[in-house]
Amino acid sequence: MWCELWSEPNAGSDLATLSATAVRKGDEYIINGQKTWNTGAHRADWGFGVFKTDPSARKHHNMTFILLDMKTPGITVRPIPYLDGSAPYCEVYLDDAHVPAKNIVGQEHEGWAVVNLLAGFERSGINEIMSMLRGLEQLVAYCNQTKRHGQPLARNPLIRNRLAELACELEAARALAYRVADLQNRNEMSLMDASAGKIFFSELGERFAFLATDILGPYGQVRTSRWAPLNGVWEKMFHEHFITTISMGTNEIQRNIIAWYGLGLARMR
Amino acid sequence: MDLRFTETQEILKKAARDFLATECPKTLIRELEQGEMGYCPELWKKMAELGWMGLIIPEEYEGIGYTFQDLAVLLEEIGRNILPGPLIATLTSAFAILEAGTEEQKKELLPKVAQGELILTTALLEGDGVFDASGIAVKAVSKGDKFLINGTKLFVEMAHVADYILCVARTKDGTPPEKGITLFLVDSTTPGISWEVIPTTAEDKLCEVRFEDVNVPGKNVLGKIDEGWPIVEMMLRKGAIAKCAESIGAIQTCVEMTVAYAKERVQYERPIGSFQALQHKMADMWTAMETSRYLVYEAAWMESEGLPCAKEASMAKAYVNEVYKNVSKWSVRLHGAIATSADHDIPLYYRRSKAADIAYGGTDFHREIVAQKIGLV
Repeated sequence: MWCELWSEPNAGSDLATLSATAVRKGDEYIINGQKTWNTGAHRADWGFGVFKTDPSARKHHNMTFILLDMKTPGITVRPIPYLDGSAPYCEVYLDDAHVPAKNIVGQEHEGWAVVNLLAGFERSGINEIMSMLRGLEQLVAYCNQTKRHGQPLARNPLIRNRLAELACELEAARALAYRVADLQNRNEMSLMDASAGKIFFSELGERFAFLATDILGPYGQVRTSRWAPLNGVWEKMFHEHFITTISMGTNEIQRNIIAWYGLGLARMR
Repeated sequence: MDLRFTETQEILKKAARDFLATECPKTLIRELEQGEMGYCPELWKKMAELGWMGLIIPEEYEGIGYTFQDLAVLLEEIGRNILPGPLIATLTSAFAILEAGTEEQKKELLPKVAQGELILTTALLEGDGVFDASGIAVKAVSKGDKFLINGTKLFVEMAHVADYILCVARTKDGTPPEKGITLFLVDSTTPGISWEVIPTTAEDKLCEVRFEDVNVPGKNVLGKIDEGWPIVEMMLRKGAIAKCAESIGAIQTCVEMTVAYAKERVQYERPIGSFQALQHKMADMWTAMETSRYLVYEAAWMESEGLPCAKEASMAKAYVNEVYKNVSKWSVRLHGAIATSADHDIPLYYRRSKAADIAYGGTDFHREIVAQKIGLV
């Protein structure tokens, strides 16, 4: 299992300003620094990271992409608690970690290109979408079976209207995901469509979480337990939707990508 | 799975785009809005020569025999340019004849439709303004081998120039209201029919049509007596997808014009398109456009293949209704004051976003269909 070692406390969206270093000594790199938001690092066997290898070079041409055995002496992993108390991600401290020089991917000092390639290879999001479809089915069943004021929630016109609205958006998300998959299939990767798809399905997830927990009323706040409708899956979603709007490139960055590289609008410097 | 257009569709698309750019400029569109007819007979004739009215009419009735998907491609170009006139009204009424007409009715009417010699429209809505059968009160009473129709229809597209009005009338009080509905092919020259054009946001000539003891021969019943509602549902479904196809073309024009303007308009010594707030808005508009596009293509494909798609058609309509209004609204805002003027082209689209919202079913009507189709009791 692998983990990603990219972000740092001072290098998030602006990853290129990272400061963890990898100093070449013979046939090794000696790595020092701190990475953060490393999902699954506490369980990973290996990690793939970027480290500054030429501090004197200009931005974007000063870092190298290196693969690390997470059992390397000098690597310490510390889980970070997520806002719901779970611990999906970690900080990773590298203290004179010695890594074979042959572990680099791509050219020395040109790790940024590797990062961009990987980041550009966006998933279509189809799995998140299918997951939402399943969630919708369960929510519909819940609304059919649960009564409030003497009638099923499903008969409440507001609930009908809002659920139908999200169902329409979900089908639109699915159609766009197939479009992204179709492009990927023909090796015609379009940054715009992938970014649009990511923005759309992640914010749809946010809307779903809010609507579902609204519909559940006071039960919308109940964590998984015998009181929790649908096993507390929507209460969980109320916490988890941030993962898709913020990671894989925040939605604000995705909008920049569409604007700059898709629509050709000028970057303001 | 290949989501690209076929070669036939690419040719149709390009030909339509070039034709409309030359033959239907914005000056003509404005003239037609202000004028009484609301369409240009000379242009209509040229469209007929290109086969547009006969596009989805089978060859045996002198049409071209293309698919519903091909029609969607054409409609997207029409929406992109804007084309005032009774094309969609005629085509959706023709669908009803194709699906429910007798051989005699099809032979009598469809070739003329294909040649551009007959303009059709459907009269569905009444005073309540609802799209379901409970709103139908216009009465058709049987008198021997004829029917007598009485009542008032509203929002009938281009009724003032239509040759035939497909009138959705009640022949029997039904429980539920879907029972007892009959469709009549009414010759618009029949005595007792009068109309008035209602002034609308899009100036698209929606009419009030009054039927006073209008005599319709029994042979002009379309489909079965009392059992016309399924035909209406089919027309609403096909019409909704058709309207969506038109709308996504319009949405694209709005996005393209807005992005182009943002690159060229300079304020504070820089193009306004370099300001992030506007960039993000435009990225959102583009995203809304693309999600609409593939949802509509999905519905059009399913309809074209004869797959049951009432859910997808309603999803598309409910979704695109809102996207077109929002994108065109933001197009006005991102242009600033100039796009609030009638001299600007964006308002042509903005005003049409409202008409497109309502035609073939508003958002709440379609969301209710979706609610049922996703299984809410």
